[in-house]
Amino acid sequence: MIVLFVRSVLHRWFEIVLTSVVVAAVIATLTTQRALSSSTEAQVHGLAHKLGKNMLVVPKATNMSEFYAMDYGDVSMPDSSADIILNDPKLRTPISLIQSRLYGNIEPEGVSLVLVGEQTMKRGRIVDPFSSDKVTVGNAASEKLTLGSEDRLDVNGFELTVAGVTQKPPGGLDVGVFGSLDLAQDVLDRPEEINVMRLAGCWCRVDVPKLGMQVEDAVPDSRAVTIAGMLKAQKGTVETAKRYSKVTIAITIALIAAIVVGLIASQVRRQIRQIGLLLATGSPPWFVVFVFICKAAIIGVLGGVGGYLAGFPLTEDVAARMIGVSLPVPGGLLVPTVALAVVVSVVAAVIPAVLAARLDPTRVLREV
Amino acid sequence: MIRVDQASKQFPGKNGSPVTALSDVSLDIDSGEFVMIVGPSGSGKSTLLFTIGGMQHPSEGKVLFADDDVYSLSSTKRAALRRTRIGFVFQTFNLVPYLNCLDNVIVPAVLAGKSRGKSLRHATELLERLGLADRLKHRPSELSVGERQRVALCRSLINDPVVILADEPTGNLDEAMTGEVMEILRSLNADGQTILMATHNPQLAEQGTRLVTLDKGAVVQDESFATEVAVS
Repeated sequence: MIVLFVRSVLHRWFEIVLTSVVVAAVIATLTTQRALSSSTEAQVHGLAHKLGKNMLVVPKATNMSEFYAMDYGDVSMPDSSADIILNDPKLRTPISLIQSRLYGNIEPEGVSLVLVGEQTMKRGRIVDPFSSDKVTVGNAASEKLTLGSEDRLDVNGFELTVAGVTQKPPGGLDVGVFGSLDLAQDVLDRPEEINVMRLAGCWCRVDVPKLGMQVEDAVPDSRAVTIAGMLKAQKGTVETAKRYSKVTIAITIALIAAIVVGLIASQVRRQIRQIGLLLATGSPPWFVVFVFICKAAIIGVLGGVGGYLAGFPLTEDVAARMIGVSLPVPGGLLVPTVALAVVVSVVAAVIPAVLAARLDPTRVLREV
Repeated sequence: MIRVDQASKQFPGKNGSPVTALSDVSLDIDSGEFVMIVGPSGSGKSTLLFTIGGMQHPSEGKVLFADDDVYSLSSTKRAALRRTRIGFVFQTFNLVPYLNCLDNVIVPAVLAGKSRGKSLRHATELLERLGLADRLKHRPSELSVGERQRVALCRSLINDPVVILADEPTGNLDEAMTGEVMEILRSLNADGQTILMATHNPQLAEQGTRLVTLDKGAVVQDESFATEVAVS
């Protein structure tokens, strides 16, 4: 019986895979919705601790998920952006500190590190802690390359001198190599480019999201990321996700049920003679039901697992667009998601399967 | 061995009035008989076969298989009866397209819970016996219609049934292939196999050991000529 079942599944494998893909798409949407509901708050709070009351200004094309994953790419904005802010009367007052940074991925001696060039402007004056040829390295970078004070570090053909090892690197970036903005622009061969500005000031009485919009207006093709803005977006996202939670689940169930019923009913129609033959030759009706239920369960498992996995990139993309942070899909969602897909698929298959088992073989087999 | 006792069958008609497919049919069929059931289209031949085969509940009357009243059995037991004691052959073969000949033949054996290995050996013997030794791994689409019907015959024999019920088994075959299939059926009957075959082909009618003629659901002729056939 198992061989008979396996052959019947293999015979229609493409339909089963195709249906599973459609179910997976539905499940992926549900997974994303659930991930947004459950992870957003914790993730944004975590980031809030990192950012404090600052504002990050990045080029509009920056993929924030990749940015937070320390994959900086080549998206940039001009290093004159800080001057634009300082020359804007509406922005000059609330923004007292601007750190222009150029982050770049480097691999000295095959070790993946991050070069950070920084120029700090405080109340319009440049306050640069780094001399032009010296760098400070984070503790992990120091350990990986066994670097200490006054050691030399060769990056892209530039001989850099290590001024010291910091145990508390800025932003917790322990694989960072910190130097002046000029130095980073030379080493990374990106003259006059930066890829992030950190703005700060006393914003107790300032509408921070509004300030962010003003910065975006002033600096072309930029995007301001603020905790206030993120919290607002997060609140809206979570509320929206929760508001539509039941609707999403209901739509998911209805779609999966419709897809599975459609496939099983279509298979029953096309295999009507084989079903008739099985019943005529003494197959117990439960076997016919079992065959179709098992097919539905396979679709549920494939669609559930596939949808859960597809939920990872989808959640990342949607979260980056909606709230500007990278969100994980909770591992605890796997079992309920797959269970939902399997249960709905199996229940949906029951009616066409039972109808198949109740076919009148004499009517089916007499048709020429 | 098989007794049909005053069986009648009515189907609901299109205009609400019932259509009679069987009318008070009584038959006693002994082991080793080759019963040809003939009659025009719509005379009730197939209905009679399906009723005997436990698939078509009669509106009235009984069907006894050995001493079992077929329709007083539960549907599970009736399915078991069909699995183990009856072999079916249909006009359109009804082979499973994605299974090869061997796997098609063993379907009833698998359903009866027999081991796959033993069933495959038995199926190989049957297919070889019916001249399909070189077609064991072929799928139905790779066979001629005559070969397909021979595979269907093997399938009906796989569980060593007490009786074979053949519904127009030559209906889709040309003259030569009809002759081939009838030769096989006669040979099986000569080995003691009980066969009930429905046909509308009058030329085949006398190839059995008994001729039952139906008209409008009623038996109008029941004639045995076992001795003559045996002699010929």
